[in-house]
Amino acid sequence: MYRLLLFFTLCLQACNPFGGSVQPNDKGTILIGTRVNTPQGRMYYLGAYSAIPSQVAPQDMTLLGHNIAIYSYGEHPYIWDGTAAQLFKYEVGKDNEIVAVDSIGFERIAKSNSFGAVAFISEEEAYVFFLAEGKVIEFNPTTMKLVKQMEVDALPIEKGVMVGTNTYYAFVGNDGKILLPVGADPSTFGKFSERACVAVFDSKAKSVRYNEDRRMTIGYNNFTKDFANGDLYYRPSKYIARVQDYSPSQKDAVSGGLLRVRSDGTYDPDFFVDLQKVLDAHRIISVIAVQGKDVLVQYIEKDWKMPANPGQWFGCSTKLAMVDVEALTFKDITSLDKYGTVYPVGEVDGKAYYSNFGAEDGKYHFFEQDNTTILNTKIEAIGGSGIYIARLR
Amino acid sequence: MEITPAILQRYNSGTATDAEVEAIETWLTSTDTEAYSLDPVDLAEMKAAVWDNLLEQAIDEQRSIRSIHASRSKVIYLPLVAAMLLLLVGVVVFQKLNWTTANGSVSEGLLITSAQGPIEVLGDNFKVQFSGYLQVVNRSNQYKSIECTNGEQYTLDPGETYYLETIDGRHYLIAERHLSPEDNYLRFVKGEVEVIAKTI
Repeated sequence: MYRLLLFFTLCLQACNPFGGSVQPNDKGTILIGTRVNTPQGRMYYLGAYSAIPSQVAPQDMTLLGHNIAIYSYGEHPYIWDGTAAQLFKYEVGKDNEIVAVDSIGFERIAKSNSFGAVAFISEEEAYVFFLAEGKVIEFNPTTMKLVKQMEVDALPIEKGVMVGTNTYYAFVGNDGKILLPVGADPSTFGKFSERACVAVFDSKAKSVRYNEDRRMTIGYNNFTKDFANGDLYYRPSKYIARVQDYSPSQKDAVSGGLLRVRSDGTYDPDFFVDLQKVLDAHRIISVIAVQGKDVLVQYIEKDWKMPANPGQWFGCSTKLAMVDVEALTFKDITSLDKYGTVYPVGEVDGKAYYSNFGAEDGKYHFFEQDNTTILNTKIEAIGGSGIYIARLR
Repeated sequence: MEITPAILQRYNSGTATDAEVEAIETWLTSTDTEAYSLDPVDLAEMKAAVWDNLLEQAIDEQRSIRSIHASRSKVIYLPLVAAMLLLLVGVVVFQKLNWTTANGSVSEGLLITSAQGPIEVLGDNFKVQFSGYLQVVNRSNQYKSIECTNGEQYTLDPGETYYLETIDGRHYLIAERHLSPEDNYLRFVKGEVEVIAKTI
């Protein structure tokens, strides 16, 4: 009988073309995204919860699709749909139902495949970046209307470099500046840039400048944050590590380092650690967490035998180590081995959260970081990996 | 065009042809059952399943919010009796067809996505000619094989997603289960593909 009543409710919603109107949720809802394995491929789901749940499952969440990126600001989730080339605004109702309420499209302004990232400054000011085309679009998130289309300096093209670049992530810094690490396109293979680069958009001057640092190569998804003090770091990327392994001419490029990025988007000249050297590693896969001088690093051991087939590289065996970047020492961490690969997915109330894939038991979790770099299991994700967590305001 | 479960599955997954989409959307708002050979109760069940799929996949249908509301508005013109019929068969739909978003429906083929969009191909063995970076999803319960025109051959596990990449003129396969979940690799798909099915 309950299922009949539930379906009756759904039918009534289906029959009401104005069913998108909901009572807004003012409880500071927790927003959680997962990527679920389905027979149709991996699909992205989004759920809203009044508190941190012990478990999340797709049947209780909203299906978003398979070509999306999740953002949130204020009381609203925002979803970039790469297939539709549109940014959708959602509302979370008082019963935690998630409903799409508006959208803004950019298909006539920029190419969908040059979409980079979205950044929110305020309830009235937000930006979408298409820096591969030299375009930045300002929109009003309250009205979801285009405010301004700006032509800016496009991503620099380095002579001889074959790996394409874009800015896939955005971090709102101080004084209206938006920092966007320039990342290598993971689907391209060839000569890559041996310079780390950050695009800095000044939302007041409406201009972009590019800051480079030659102590380290380009990467992908390069920023990581010390949640204790807000410091940003530019970290290694497994995608460049893989390309490097099959590119003899660049085998000695410094791809496994750690740089610190200041709030104005420049690199701290007094900070650089070559993690690959400290660990005597074959390659660095990723920096998972940073807290003060302690850096949790995933790496490939030096004696690993590289496969002839580059497609099999990602199945490499890895280890975790905690590196003291002041003493330049490390200790291996085995407590997280059973979870497979661990990666950051967001922040709630000042605490960093991580998720995993490739666990020994095939299960997926969200982990909460405590006051050190210890990660404690917090939420079980049914059906697939966690990819996003945040608290709506 | 007769509406069949196979056509509805393609519509739900976004791989139906233009003619199929037009036929389905006409059927969704039609109460005429004489033109179809399926039992009227079965037709009603399939119709309810499609609407629920549309409700949950509103964004994935590549339509604006306004056009979704416009599509939905047709439903309010259905007689209340028809709406109650959908309600009565609703539980049967979920149980019989198992078209829930979590489980999805299992097809028999591969879904190959290039810069031109996704195509579903039925069969067990395929030869592909392509450039760039493709996504390949084995949506069936069987192993499939794929041969690239440069000679590389790969086996695709049931239910798994892969990416076919091009390096120095050769093609390599990456299993998505080894890639970071927080990244959406579909955004990097590029190039064109021609698929030749060897056996069906």
